[in-house]
Amino acid sequence: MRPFDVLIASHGSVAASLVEAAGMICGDASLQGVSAVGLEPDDSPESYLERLRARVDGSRPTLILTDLYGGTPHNVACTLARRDGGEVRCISGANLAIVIEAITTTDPLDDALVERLIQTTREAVVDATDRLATQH
Amino acid sequence: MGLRLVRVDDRLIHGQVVAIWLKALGAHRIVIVDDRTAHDDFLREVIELAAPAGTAVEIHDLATGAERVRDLAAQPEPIFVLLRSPITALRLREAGVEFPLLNVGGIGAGPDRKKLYRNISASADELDAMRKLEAMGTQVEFRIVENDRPVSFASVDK
Repeated sequence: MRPFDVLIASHGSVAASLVEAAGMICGDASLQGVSAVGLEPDDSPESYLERLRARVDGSRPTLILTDLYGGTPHNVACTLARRDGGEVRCISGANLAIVIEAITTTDPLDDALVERLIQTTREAVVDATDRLATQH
Repeated sequence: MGLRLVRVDDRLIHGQVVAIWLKALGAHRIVIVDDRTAHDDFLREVIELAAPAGTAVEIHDLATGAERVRDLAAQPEPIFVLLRSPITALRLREAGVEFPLLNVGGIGAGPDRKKLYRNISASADELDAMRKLEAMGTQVEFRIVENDRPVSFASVDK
């Protein structure tokens, strides 16, 4: 069992789509304790913060994956992490690879896991054209 | 003249929006004037981190900010002033900071706000501030990024 919750914070529907796609690949059971909060055009940072906060269960550690460093979902998630203390970790640049890795792990949410997740995200970015060319 | 642009955007520094404006204006210094942000340590940290590399960011409350912006406006270094509300813009104007244009790039919806245009909503006080600014000779326009077609406040204030 994954010992932490996962919250994906993004612009618009990116978060919801990542969750949907991860569910297709990993099965719906893996989506337990996983939520998506998308920033709408009408959102102010305050309204978005409240929506994020509503998805954070203070009794469990939470990993927040944001779509874009420096974007409003990211900035607001960081404010939440800093302000609410507890165990909230934040990683930017979410892609499907990191979401899958994060929701299927049974490791605790610590530095080692964060480092591993970042590695996973990076390794997912490949010059596919080049790799195909050099294989033949 | 130092003051390249005064902008209202309640998301302050976010995504590429600020980077695009800085480039268009030839500015490398952002001066944020906002009481709430100035007095919230966590928020300050996050906003400072969100700034593009090579950009100086200052965060002041209204009292200090008005004076700082007045000083900087008289200097050659191009600066970009960022606010969260048109009410702050009015206060700056009342404190003697002159600017011919107020760019409004985003104000989120809220319980006492009415939607004006796209991502811009305003409360009665905020509408009032924009009208006062226009009466004082500062044109108020809505525009998210520099390439967008500007829409005048007057055209949506019916």
